[in-house]
Amino acid sequence: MAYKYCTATNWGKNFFTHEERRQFHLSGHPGEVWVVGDNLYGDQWIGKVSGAIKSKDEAQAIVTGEIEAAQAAYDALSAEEQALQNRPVVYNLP
Amino acid sequence: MATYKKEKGFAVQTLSSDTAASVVSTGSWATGGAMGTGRAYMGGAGSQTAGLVYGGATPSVTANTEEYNGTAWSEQNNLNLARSYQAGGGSQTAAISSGGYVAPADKTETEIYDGTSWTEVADINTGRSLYCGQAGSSTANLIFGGYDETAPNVKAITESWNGSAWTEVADLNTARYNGGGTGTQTSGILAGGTPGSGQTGAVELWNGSAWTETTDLNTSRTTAASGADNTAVLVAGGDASGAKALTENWDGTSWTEVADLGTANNGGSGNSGSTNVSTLNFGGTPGYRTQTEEWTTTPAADFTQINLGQVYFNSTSNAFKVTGFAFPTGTWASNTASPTAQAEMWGTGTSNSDALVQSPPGVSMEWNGSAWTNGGTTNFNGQTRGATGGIAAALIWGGSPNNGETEQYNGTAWTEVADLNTTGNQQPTGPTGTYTDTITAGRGPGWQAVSESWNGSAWTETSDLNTARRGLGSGGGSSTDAAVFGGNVPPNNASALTETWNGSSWTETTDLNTARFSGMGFGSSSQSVGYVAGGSYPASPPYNVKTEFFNGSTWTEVGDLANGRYHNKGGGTGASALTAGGYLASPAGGQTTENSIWTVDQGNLTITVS
Repeated sequence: MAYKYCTATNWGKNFFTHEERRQFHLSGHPGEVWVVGDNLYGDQWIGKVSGAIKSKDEAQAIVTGEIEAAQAAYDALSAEEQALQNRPVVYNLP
Repeated sequence: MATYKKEKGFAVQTLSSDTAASVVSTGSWATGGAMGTGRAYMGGAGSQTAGLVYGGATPSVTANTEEYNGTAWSEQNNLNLARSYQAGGGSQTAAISSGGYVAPADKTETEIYDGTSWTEVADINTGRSLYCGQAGSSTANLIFGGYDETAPNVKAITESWNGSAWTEVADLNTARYNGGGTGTQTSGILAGGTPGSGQTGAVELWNGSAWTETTDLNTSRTTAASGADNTAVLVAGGDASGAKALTENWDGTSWTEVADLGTANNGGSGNSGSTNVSTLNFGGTPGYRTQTEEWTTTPAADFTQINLGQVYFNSTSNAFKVTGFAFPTGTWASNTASPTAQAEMWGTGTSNSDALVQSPPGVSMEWNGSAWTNGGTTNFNGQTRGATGGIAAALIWGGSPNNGETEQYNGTAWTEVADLNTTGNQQPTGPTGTYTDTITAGRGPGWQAVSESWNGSAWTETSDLNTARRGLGSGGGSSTDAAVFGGNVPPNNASALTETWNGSSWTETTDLNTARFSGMGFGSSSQSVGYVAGGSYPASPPYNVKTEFFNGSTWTEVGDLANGRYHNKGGGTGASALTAGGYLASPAGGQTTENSIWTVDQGNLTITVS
């Protein structure tokens, strides 16, 4: 499946709708990165949310940076709180 | 004689929404209003249109309380004790908060919300945080599991609230924290969580007096749950070596994956809805979010059960639709390992629950959908033989080093029948004809264009392929309907060529996207549904993970195999197939016991009128 990558700020209600979820692949990632199915509906959604198109490498760098920041925050927690949470894990975008 | 239907046509049912397997399977997550305070590990209560969030980590502890009206969150009176890592329960006008964590200690305080303000009531007996859940109301509640800084850290304790006091009742079978708990004081459920290290998929049901283990989640993880009782429950998000967007539905018997969250979410996001058809998921980590997602399904009154072959008009999307197999959506899933690592064997199948593969030295192994068992032993033990059929009736022919032997299988024993006219190895893989009607084209040694059809008793030479090759994939496979794809061409290269057979001649058509040889072909009707999976590139490894789907005119990439491989064998229809064995890239050249099953779900396909 082909994807497009963009950043867009989730404003809340109707940022993405049930109908849109059925029309194209959409997944949100740290750093307001969105992976969008590359079809007509996906293109329309990127326009709706004024998404800033990114290359996959650019999008991955944003996600990785956000997760590394979250890892640093986790590492600064007390041992008790670290036991309660899971350390964020860097992953690859599809 | 003309029939009424031929004269007048027939009525097409009009539906307001697409048909589906179940009400819950129609569900999806969409964004709701954003919370005023981003947070994780908070309490949540209420429903999708009357929700409540309180406390949590921002990352510092907060007492902040907000109400949701189905559109937006609004600030309300704070908790008396700011805290995080508590669970929540009840409704927007009658909620409960107990325990939690305020550095450096776990808490026992309990508070009740009456729709306006929080009031302190009796403490829980054992201070702890990250309960696996809080099932019930503000007057009849149940908390279970949790984490405490004193050993043993991970708790199995269950406490019951009668509106005025907490009483210890039967422990969980598996101590854990940060699982998904919901339901009522007499019908509760706990799914997943952390038993101390890693995550578990274990699920337990509460009947009012005891916990009973039941079917595990499909994916072990921490998670959040929503459900009116323990017979209809939705769990969403969580953590399993990273944040997950997975959503699973419990129907009282089994867990089924349904549509993912829009954003993967861990860190104890609240899930306050009271049912598995209408709920909320909010906050969470990474990032201490403000985001809310709303889970909504087709109303039960508008739900229509999916029915293969049904034609209807969707009045909402203004489209005529037919229910069929959505072939491009197919996926491979891992299957029970084969008894023996193998490659370059023969293999065939009619579905992912009916397959037959060679297991050296000449034993045929049967896969019936649940287990591998020994079948009959073949008379000739050649590799790379052609094969068609399933465990009840099959045909194999040719094979290494350069043979023409043909054998029929009756479900018990193999019997030699008439030989091929032209001996050969590296026969096409995956033809899905029958043992009385099939065709084989291309073969080694070298590169041959020979084609022969089988009528149940003898092979007859037909028109040759346009391009001589060996190690092809095949779909279809009757004497009037077949296709071959890819293959090895001189001097030792992968080919992308596709040829279709109409009963009298082979015709070149659209090439594969990725040239390959010794992959596995499958598909029930070569003219419209053909596939090839795996195969070798000219330079190998890496071997091919790609699966391609042929709709009669073009090839489209569909779900990949988990691991690249070649000389994998098996077969099946476009909707249901199995591939077994092959050579893997790691260890280089190693034969594998891995096998995978291909499944395509039914879907509602739009009918396009040109």
